[in-house]
Amino acid sequence: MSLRAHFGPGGFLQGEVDWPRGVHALMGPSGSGKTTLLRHLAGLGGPGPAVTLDGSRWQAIASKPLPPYRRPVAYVPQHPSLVPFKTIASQIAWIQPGKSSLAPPVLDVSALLSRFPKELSGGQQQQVALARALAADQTVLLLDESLSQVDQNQRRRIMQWLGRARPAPWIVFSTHQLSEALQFSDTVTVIQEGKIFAAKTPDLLLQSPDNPAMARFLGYCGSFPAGDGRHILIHPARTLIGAYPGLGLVLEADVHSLPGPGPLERRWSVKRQGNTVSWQGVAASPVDRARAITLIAAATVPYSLDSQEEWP
Amino acid sequence: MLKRAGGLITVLTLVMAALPVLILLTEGARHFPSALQSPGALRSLEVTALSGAVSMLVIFAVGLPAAYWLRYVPSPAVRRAAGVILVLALLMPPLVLGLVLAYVLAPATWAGQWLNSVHAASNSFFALILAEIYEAMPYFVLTAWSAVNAIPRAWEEDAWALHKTPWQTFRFVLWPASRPGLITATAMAWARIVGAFGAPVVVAYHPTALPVQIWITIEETGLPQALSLALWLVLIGLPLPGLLTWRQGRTP
Repeated sequence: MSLRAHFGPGGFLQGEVDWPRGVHALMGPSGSGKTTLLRHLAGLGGPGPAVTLDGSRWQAIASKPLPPYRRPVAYVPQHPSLVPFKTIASQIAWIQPGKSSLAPPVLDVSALLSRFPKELSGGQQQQVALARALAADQTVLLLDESLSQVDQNQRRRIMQWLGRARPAPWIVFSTHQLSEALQFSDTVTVIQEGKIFAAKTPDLLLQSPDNPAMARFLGYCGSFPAGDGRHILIHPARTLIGAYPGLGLVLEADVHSLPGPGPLERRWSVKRQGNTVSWQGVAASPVDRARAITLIAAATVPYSLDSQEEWP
Repeated sequence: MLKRAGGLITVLTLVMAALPVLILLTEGARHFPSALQSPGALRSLEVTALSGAVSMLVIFAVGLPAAYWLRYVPSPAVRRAAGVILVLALLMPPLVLGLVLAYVLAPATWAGQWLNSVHAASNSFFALILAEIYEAMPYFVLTAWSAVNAIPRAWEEDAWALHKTPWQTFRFVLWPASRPGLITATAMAWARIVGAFGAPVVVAYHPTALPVQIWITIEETGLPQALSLALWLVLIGLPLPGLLTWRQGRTP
């Protein structure tokens, strides 16, 4: 029971995806191939990978890939192309007659039904595009940064609803927001320069990023030698200033901080055995010096990660 | 100052553009009711209307699929070649077009021989329609292609990716989006068909269409009667493009 796509050699994308039913996040820097992957799955990317869903292959006759309209997929791009001369109601009704009033309340499109796309903000257009895709009622819902213009709170509500209601057996969403990917997905798949890494649960991904670039992408800002040839990664959001043995791994270090470039920021520097890791964090902290840090769910990896923060 | 000068130049340009129409309306109106009573005039009006309708139907039936097909041609070289061919056909002097058609339809050629065995190749209703189609087709295809091509591919792709077939997408998205441009293409082709003279005068002197009849009237009766007949031609050919341009609220 999985959605699989294998990208062979020769193309930009390399590797494979294998997603069981659930909500899956797709992450990667700009230009890494997230949109290319989703478009291939939707059947819009030209000749592409062999895609199977629950064992059945999405292939038409003579080895041609199945066209998009024959795939059990609803795809929402980042910039949705709502038909400019049709009302929102007619566009949703066109996708699935009688569904215009059944858009989920969380999308807040009921007041927009009589309007035309040009009368909507970018965020509203994205919500309408999602409502339209939901009306298609397909097995696989592909969302390509499709809520990028929706305000933070509303976006969070929609993501929560998608995770709770699961309107499609497979939901795959690409995002630049790490916290969103980690919080609302069952697995996270990372793409770097076209290379697709195996999907991992958010916790497992944070525990074992495959390489330094991925670690940095996940928010790690440096590492200290663990003593056994391995390295302990430092993540600002998982680091407590001071020694709290009951909460995680305590490392003795010389910690101090200075005001950051902005009023809400503070620069932190941690020195240990000749290595320094520094980062910018939130300004609120009861201390600005300490002799140790505590790493919550410390990640140990076989590579080192240089700190890229420059200390003034 | 610059704005005022620009306005003045524009007004002068518009007056110059309107002058032929004004002269035609004033001078042509003098013999307008009796213009159709001259020998062959009424028949030429009928021929123009009938051949125009048939030519328009053929152009629509052939040109519309061609315009849509050209939208989907993946090869830029093919698209460029198609564009050049159509522009050359559009810019070819109608008289030259008529000479080429006359050569092709002549009994000495294979095509002319075959056509003559079926039906009179030149100086026939068939030849008139062929001449009108040749003169008007590039206008229609180029304008329709441009209109269809202006529709973003993303509109279609989004619909396909929401489980809509190409035919459903055509009906809901492509056709309504391209309709204004297709109407303009139709209006331009119609004006061109009705006014076709260069090619018909060579290959289809008979049955005589209105533009050729106007030429005959100049030679046989004089300019005032010809102007009145020309007014009939304009009344058939130009209201549609004029009305459409007015409705779209923009210049062609």
